Amino acid sequence: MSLNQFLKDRKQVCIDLVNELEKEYVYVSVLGSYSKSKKVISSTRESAVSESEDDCGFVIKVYDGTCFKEYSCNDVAGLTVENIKEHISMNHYQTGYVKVRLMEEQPLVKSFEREDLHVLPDEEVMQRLTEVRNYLQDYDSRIIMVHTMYVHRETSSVFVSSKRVLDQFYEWNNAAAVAVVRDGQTIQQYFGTAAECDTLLTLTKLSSMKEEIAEKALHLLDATAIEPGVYDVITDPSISGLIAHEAFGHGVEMDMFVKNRAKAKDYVGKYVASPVVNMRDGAASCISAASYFFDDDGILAHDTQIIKDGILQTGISDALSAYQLGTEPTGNGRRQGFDRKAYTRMTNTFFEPGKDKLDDMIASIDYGYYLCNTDNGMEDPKNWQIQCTAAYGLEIRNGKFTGKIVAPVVISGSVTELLGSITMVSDQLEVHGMGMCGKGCKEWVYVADGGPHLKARAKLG
Amino acid sequence: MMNIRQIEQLIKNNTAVNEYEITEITQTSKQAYYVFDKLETLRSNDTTSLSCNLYVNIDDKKGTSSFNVIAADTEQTIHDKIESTLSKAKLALNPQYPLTPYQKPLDSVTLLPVSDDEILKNVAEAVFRAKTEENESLNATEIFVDTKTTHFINSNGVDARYNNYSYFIETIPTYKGKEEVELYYSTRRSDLCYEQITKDIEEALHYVKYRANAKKLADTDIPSDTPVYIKGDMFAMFMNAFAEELNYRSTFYHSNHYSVNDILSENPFTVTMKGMEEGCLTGRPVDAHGYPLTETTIVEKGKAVSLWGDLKTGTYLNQDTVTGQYPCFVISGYEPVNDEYFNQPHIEICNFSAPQLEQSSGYFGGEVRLALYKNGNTVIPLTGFSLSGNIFNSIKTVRFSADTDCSSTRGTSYKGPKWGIFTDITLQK
Repeated sequence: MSLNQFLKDRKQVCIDLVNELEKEYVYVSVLGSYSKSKKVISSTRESAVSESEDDCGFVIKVYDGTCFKEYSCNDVAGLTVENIKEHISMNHYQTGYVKVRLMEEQPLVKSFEREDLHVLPDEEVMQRLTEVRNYLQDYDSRIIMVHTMYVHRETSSVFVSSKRVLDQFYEWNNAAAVAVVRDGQTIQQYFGTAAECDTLLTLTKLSSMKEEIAEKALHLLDATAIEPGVYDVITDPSISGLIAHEAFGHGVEMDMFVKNRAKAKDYVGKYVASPVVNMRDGAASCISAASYFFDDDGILAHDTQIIKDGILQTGISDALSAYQLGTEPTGNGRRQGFDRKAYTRMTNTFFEPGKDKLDDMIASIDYGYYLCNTDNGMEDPKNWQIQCTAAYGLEIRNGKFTGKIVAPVVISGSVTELLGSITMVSDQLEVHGMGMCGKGCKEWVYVADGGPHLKARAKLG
Repeated sequence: MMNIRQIEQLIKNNTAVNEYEITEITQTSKQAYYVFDKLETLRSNDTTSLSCNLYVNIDDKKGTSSFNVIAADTEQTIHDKIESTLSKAKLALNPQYPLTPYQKPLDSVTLLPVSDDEILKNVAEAVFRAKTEENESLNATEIFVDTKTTHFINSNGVDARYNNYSYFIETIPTYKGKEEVELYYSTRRSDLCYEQITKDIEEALHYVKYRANAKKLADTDIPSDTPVYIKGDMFAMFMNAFAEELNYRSTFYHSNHYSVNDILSENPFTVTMKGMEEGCLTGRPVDAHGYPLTETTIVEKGKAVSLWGDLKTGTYLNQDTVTGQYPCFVISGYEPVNDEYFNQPHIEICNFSAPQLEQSSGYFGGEVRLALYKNGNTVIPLTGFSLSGNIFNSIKTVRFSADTDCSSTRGTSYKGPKWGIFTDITLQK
């Protein structure tokens, strides 16, 4: 597998178009993108194998000294400067334009590639999923439905500007197994996930979780609601990742700095977390779901240290925000698709590991909860409020699990109080590449997040 | 790009294809993005997508898979995609079900009343026309004017073409008090009532001023058993959960808590699923498989009376009459509370951080960014607390307001009472 042939064929057209448009505009770029996903499903009730080319098209971006203008279309072949001008000459309302300082682009012509290390034929994928499904179905009669799924995603893009001609191709795999359990009117579900740049490894990992998925799902049938209150907690790596994502992921997206919508803007160089906390984001910070080589602005992937020893270091940025702030972009400009605008978006966001052992962390809790399995979250970068949902929590008393389970568990409250309360950080790092993230209520992109186990004090409900 | 009829012909040429469905979606969008009141970006989209579902019959089973057509495709690449899709279809065989049978061709495409960029300009003017008092402003405003034309055909001769247009406004009303605070506001609509847009934005600005002066619930002596009134997305999500409970898929996947004849509530409300409903932006004459949509009552006087859903799952459940997958649901027939309810002590939830609902356990709740405690003429703005409840308990006693609302989120439209009145919600200070 390699760069999509359609984009290869259109690369010269993009170069010619940029050359023509440059005669009239201060800045010009063309991004061509193509993504294809294959989905294999084996479930109790139905199975499916499908393939879809989700995102295939081009966006032409120009700056004429007033504002940025973009035209998105399926194909650039045959497009003329006049066609483009016709599309971007819109009737519009304005009381002025934002001020930008365009950055001097460094010349670069380069191709990048990262392939799936062990591709499997569709038949084998279906067979491996069906084995997991059958195991779970046969495990206990209270498991009433099992849904297993594998998604292979390949992404190609071409970026052309006056000084850059870049192309990239990369692949990623996700797999999940969901067990729905029922006892009378009580229904619960539990899912296990695996995500790797290697189909064989992804499915092997999923298979290794099948007993845990069955046991956890059945345990959830005993779940009660948590008594709301403030507790000592230990977060598993998925919940640590959710906190990282919501707290100082969204909180340091620098398009929010431009709009004066992030409190973090005034806290660079100041403590925002306990001194044991370190955090990073970047498409180049690890290999996971959001590990690309260059972003949708043609900026190379970065590895950005956001928090070092509890002190906020910097934010993350797309090119347009950097042009407005007078800063360097960090390779975080991402589009939901070729027909959407680029915003500052997270990539792989995680807390760095510390030195504590998980057993010691659990033993240190007098009364609290071990919070597991990310569900969803929300942040408020302006007022530093956070909300993270864990699928379930396990009660700990006197340093030991009691067997009691509560579900779901919502962590809420102040970002800095939560991060400031972190006292222990485990020595193992896990990054989970299964997630998607929106901005406002739209603009969905693939992200990864994770971290070690964290011990903190949190408001739970 | 090859058109829908060219693709159909290439599929027909392959005798291994037993049945097919093709959907062509043509979309245009004009978009404007502002930072404070300054224009940052203008965008224009002009795109077409074409997707094909192919079906093969093997013994008594049916296999299906799909492919997309892209601009680069030629007759040869389409031929290759058909072959590859057929191979995939044979790997996933399911019990038989029919595709939508022949219907009289449908063409309900209507033209926009004015050009889309004219609407873009007018909507932006209406947004920024909102009167801002000292310390109030709008930020990060985004306006999209979207048109979408869908053309569906299948191997039984179904041929349906329809369109939707709507505009979307997202803006962040901001108030600079002791601290600067903001709220999130978004709406999608299709009316061209520009005065109403301005009025709604002014109300959003009014709310953010409340937030700037809001107290933490923990800092008040408001009783934690005060009735809670919920509106908007959270309430639509709450009611939609019961429509989903009665979808064929919930029964098929054994995830349903209710069956036909079960009593949901003491409140004698009716839930009607509809294809089209005035004000519902997701409305359409046929579902994604071309199945013609009318309407079906699924809850009557608080009792489940019917299931609903798509042809495939309806067939699997041996339904006598399949309804199709409706995009709109309407709540009616209830006894609304009288005005006195709004004079009694209560908390109105104006803005959630992230409303959540977990269908299997019934949990719902979220962090509240702004609520108003009202008691007669007393109004106390509140913030910084969360609430939670269980939908299966709350539905038994929920009451509804007389005034109505219409909202469209996540592909579904809700029309019904504006406020749900809850007496069993836990408030966490």
